[in-house]
Amino acid sequence: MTLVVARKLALMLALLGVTMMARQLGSMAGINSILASSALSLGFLMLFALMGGRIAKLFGAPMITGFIVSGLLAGPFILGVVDKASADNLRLVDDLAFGVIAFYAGGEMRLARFLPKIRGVLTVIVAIIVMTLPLVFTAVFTLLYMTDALKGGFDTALAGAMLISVIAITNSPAVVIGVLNETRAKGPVADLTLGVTVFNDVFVVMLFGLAMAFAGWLVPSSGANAAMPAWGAFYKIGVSFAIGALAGGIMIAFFKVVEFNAAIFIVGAAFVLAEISQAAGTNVMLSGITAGFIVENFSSEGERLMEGLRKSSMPVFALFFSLAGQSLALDSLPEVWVFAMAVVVTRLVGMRAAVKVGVKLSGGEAALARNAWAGFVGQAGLSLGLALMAGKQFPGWGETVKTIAVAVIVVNELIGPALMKRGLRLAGEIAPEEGTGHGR
Amino acid sequence: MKLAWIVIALLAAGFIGARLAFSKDRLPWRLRDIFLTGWEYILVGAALGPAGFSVIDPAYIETLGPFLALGLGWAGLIFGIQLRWRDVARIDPATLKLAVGQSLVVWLGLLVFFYEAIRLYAPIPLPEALASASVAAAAGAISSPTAISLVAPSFGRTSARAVRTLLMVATLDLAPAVIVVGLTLCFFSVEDGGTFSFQRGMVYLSYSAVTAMAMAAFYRFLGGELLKPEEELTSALGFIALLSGLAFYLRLSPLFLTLLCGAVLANILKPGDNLYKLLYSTEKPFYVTLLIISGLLWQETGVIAWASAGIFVVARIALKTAAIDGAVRFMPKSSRLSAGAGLALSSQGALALAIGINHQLAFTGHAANLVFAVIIISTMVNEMAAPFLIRRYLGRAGK
Repeated sequence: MTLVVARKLALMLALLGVTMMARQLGSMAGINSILASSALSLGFLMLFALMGGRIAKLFGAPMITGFIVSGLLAGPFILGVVDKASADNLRLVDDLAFGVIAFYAGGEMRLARFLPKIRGVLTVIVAIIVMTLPLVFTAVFTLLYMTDALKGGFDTALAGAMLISVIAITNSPAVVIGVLNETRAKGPVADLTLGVTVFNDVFVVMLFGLAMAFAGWLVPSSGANAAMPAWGAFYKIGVSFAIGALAGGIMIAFFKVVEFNAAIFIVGAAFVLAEISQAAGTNVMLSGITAGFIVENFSSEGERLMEGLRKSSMPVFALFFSLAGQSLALDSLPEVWVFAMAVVVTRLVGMRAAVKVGVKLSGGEAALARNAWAGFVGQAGLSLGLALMAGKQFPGWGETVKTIAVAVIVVNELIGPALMKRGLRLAGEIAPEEGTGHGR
Repeated sequence: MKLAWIVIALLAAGFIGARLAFSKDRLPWRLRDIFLTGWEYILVGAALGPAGFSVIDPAYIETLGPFLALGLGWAGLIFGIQLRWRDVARIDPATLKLAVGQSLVVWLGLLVFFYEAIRLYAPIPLPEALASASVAAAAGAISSPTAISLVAPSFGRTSARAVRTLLMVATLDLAPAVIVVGLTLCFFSVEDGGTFSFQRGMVYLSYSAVTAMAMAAFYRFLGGELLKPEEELTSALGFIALLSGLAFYLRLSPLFLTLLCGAVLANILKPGDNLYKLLYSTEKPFYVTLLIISGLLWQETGVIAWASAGIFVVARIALKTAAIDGAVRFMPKSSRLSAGAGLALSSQGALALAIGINHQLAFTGHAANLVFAVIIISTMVNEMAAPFLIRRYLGRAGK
């Protein structure tokens, strides 16, 4: 074990040495090209993340934890090998990853498997909204009001706590799909985690729309953009579904015409969807999930979709999660760590209790009630998007809300994947390794 | 927004193209021959880019850089890993001489032509003109085996020997060209209008050799990890991108560096290594995507570009034919081809375009644009004409 880890660390060090030496030689020769820097970063991150992922796996953590930590190490706060400009030049991968993750989530939602479980899924979501959200809200509101961190009194503290608590009940489809894809886990915990993650997005988008409208009403002088009414959220959800349904239909038609290499087509389709969603201002996750769901349940091409996703997802995930790690705002932690810790702890307690109650109410097994909560800890894309939106909509106090939310996401992104894998392992749902691959 | 539309267009067209470019069985054979190797996808890219309707802004195309570097590295590596010493040593020396000899003759002839054309077109410093001419000539010196292998099945056993030799020559003549491109970037600096320095060249050449060997050893070490297939893909892509990034950082040619590294890997990996399977399995989509990207990067469409390309095409074919005919005439016993075989080597293929892209990324300005335009036009014309010329030659050889 020690030797295996040492070998991987040696590879990482060699990689680090090569990259740093190239940068040093480049800077001595006066080379300051963004093309050179981003191409080097692309290769470095993929290999560094792969090694990090494999080390994480050796310690029982999911590979994506390794990807994230590798990105964090490579980022500006620790080793500084991958700078912001180079990482920004690789952001194309984000769009691709969102699409791939969404297709995967939708493709996993086989009706025959999920319909009998829909009651359990909805009960858990309601339990999270009814229990976790108020718990986080109470803790955050108390702290914000007592310290006047938002510098706006009762109303502002109320608005800020509301936004933070809604963001707190999101979980990360990327983390869930990443861990499920890697572990090939199958069973009640995996199904519940995936089901709740998929449907939770719909509720969170609606709740956030309501919370934003309410916050704008509570603190009208804050420069809030009133163009985010609650109905906007419903419109967004409806259009997202419509785009996804259309995309699903087109994908089925394409799969029928084109016979080989589904992986390449899926990569293209993921981009198309991400861009259309961006143009229409809709939610790519919902559209992608709908498209994947339609291909899986209304055609015979579901297996090709999933096979293509399995083949193409690893390089995309390695790059996407390492870039996510690279951009983690570690500098926000010292500023707001008290608030962040309060949210992280109350969220953990709230999630655990809510999932336990939800599963019991829907008649689920004790093992499910005990282990499923761990899948809802990870946070990433959607939470970050909502945090940024809050900061943008409410200049001033919204910025502080954003900083707290981002700090919470940093912590949850780091601990979430490992906790989820642990939950799946305790539930006995992780498939044994299919061979160990091959070396040279 | 526009950026992703580029990728969408590229991937979709690349995918459909990969499907269609190699299965046009339903078309009448004459029409099928015109579109045999998929050159029309260059036009698709050109229509989207600045040479066409400018649907896609050149500024956005530039942001594809890191992924373009990955593609270039892939092209160099796939050729490099075929250079296993044991296999190269088994090649008939006469064929090897023929391949390298005709490639160098064509390169020299085109170098002179292109140097004059660039000097006429753009008043640029001599070293830069020489570097650009050298790269354009290298792109002209190579032949592609794709068209030959697609046409060959319609000929019987009577032409088998000619087909084998043609394929061998078309595969081997890539090496001198890529080496020339690599050496050009080593000996000519790209900044300040370009300068020639022997000392710099030797230093950069050593960088290339040391980097290629060190990185091949690194990949070999990486391969000691027991990787699953999806991890293997991640490691290969990461490795190629890293190597290309290193090349750009050290102002080396990504094509040359990956070719060198590929050649080292070919001699230290097992013949059935997964890297081979991985590169070959992604060949078609990569090929078509490269065609489209080339079209997108095409900027110069003026009369001079077309005229230069026209002369370039004629000069290239004439030089190829003369070189092979000369070999047949002066070395009749060792030559495996008959007179006129130069016509069958007219196809240029994706590597010519990769050389052009490599140059475009390293150099900027009028001369670089002209070089790229000539490469792209000549590639289209040659890909269009190659199947007919190959058929003609093989028909005669069969008799």
